[in-house]
Amino acid sequence: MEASSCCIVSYIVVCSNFISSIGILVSVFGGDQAMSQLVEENQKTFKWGIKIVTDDSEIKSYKSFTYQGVQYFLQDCVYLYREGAKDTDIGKLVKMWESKTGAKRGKVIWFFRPVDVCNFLREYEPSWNELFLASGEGRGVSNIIPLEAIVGKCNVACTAKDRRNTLLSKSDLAKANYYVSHIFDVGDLRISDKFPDIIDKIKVERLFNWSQNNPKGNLECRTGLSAGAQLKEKPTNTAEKPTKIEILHASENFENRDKPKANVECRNDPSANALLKVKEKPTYTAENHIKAEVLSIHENLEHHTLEAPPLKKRKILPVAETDPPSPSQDTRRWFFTLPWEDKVKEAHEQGTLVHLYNLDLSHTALDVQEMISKAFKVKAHAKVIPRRHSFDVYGHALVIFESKDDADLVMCLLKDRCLVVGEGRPLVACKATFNEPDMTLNFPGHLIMDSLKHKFNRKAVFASHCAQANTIEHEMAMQWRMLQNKSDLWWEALYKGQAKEFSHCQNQIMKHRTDELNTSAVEVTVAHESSDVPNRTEVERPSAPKSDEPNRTAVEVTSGPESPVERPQSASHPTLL
Amino acid sequence: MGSEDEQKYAAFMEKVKRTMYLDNISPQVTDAVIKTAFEQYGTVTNIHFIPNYIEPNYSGKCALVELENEKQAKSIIEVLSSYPFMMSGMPRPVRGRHAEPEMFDDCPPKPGRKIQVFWVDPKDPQFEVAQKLKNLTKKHVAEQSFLQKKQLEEEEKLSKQQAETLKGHYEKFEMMDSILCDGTSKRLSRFYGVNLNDD
Repeated sequence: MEASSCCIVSYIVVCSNFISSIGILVSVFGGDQAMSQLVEENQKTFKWGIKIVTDDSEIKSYKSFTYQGVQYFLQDCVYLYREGAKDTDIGKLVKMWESKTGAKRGKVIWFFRPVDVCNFLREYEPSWNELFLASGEGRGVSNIIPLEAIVGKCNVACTAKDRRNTLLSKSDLAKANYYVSHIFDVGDLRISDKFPDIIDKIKVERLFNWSQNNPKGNLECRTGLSAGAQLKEKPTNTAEKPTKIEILHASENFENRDKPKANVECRNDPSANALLKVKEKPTYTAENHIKAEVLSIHENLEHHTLEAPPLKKRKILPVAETDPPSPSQDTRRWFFTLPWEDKVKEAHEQGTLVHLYNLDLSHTALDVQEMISKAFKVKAHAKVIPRRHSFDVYGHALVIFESKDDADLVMCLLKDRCLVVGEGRPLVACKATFNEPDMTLNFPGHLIMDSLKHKFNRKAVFASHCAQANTIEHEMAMQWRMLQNKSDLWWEALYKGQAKEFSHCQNQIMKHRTDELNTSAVEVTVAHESSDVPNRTEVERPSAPKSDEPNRTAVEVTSGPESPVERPQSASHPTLL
Repeated sequence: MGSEDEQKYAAFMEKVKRTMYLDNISPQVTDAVIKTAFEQYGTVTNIHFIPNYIEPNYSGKCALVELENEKQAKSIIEVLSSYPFMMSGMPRPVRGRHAEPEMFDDCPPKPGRKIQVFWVDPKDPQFEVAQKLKNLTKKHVAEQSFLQKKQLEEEEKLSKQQAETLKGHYEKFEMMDSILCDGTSKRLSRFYGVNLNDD
């Protein structure tokens, strides 16, 4: 519209035709109908305070005013109401004046709430009562507002470690509603803890905390004198630009941005609860046909048990061991290189594929191969499967053995006895289920718009891009985002619960283990006898009563799944605003 | 020998820092697509798709994308987490996070590590605890696969829902298109006295 028409920053609750939803600055001129109405209303509740002497006869600047019973001074932080906004805006009053038409105006420098700038926070994690001071060049640093839009005073403490800032005492900090320690630069769009010298023509010292010694009145006088020059500037500025309409967008453009970190209501907890109650029993059908082979393997078993103690002994003594030829060198000789997928397929068909899990997370494929060669004296080719989620405590690997017998033997042994790996993790093995990655499987989220392609009669190529906020695809993307976040939460809940149960059990093994290690280490250094077995039985007797504990843990374990699911509910409440 | 291992490991860790792990990638996405997609943010030096063997259900392909330097990787991950990034226009946004050493196939062993294995016999009182742990593991894995299945169901539900809305939108736009084309809109505007052009 033309410059002569006035649109008011929609801070005033007046429904009229000219109020636009975007904050457009007013140069107060040709009094608006709505404005004069308001002026009359508030004449009674508004009263100016101390006046600042300036040259300008048209614009009267003040240091304070009383509005609706509350006295406001310069440098006060105020809550401002904006129509349609969910929350009040917070700004710091740096100037206040009355124009020649009688309209009361103030200039505020904005504080951003964390939600306003959540897209630009990057790694910074703000607190709930933290604000960011606007700075830099650009829109959103400050605005001129009608003073009637103020709804209350706000106590904002500045905790910035700047030499120009006086730090507040603890009691003052406790009284504060919010605190500020960083600025948000609207030009660079980033958080910084370095305060510039001037923010929007205001010296930054004035934006910091007040020295608590001087009552506000005195300080004002002093700053008034020194900043008198600045105050003088202001009136001339407004006089100069009466016909221009400055468009200063309030922090609205930040608030309207999409927030991928949507406040996900954690109503998924009941669903997660339901999931865990219905549990599937794993079916290890491999067990059946292995039983027949057990009898034939009995001799091997004994062979292995005899080997076990010396194996342990070797680990205890700090003797330089001659490792068996490392598996990696071997594999080059006996396994001709096929691409892994084909290997796996073949292995699956031949029955030599085993899925090993409960590995330590730091184990690599080579480690696994080494472990298997040490424990079973068989060669194998392993590949570690990366874990799905960062909270998962279980490491998986696919192992291909040379022959089916090897595979069956290993599985049988691991079932009957426990091979403990790393820091107390007994390996579990099962027949691997191999699934060909199905390319034709409908990937959820795939929307094929073939009809579009036909219509345009050319190869419509969908480029990869970031979705803009006003498109249909954006809405869909947001839904997916929400689902992704939700799923992250429920996976996290599951894994954390599992990790807790797991570590509890693991501690028990480790406890026993270290006890044994300590005692048997002493034994071994004293006497280099290989008759460890009688010594071990002596050590074990005191630990026998501890066998009660595993039973108790069994009870705890079964009731475990319920509790971790409840925990996320309380943990996630802060996200619900 | 030792220092060589350490060097290898250090070089590997360096690579890990430069790499990011993407998932929720549509199966139709190929190397070239990823490369062009991230061209705007930095140069991609290596792409490795992680094949999925054990899970019958899966939520998208996963890939390890190596970039030129750590800074590029960080900036891309920031973008991916603040804005929904649609790979080749599919409505399901791609997710990314920093890579971890375990994700790599060719992870060299940490220098100075020793692999410890020991057998626990049934006669050993620890055996019970170990068995408990094994059963716990099995149970957990079952829980995980169940959750995965449920998750897939949720995803399919959402996908169906979106497909329907999209179809609705498409039909709406088709209709609008057709009336604009065949003159119905002009007749209607004359009838209602509404000005069609943007004056």
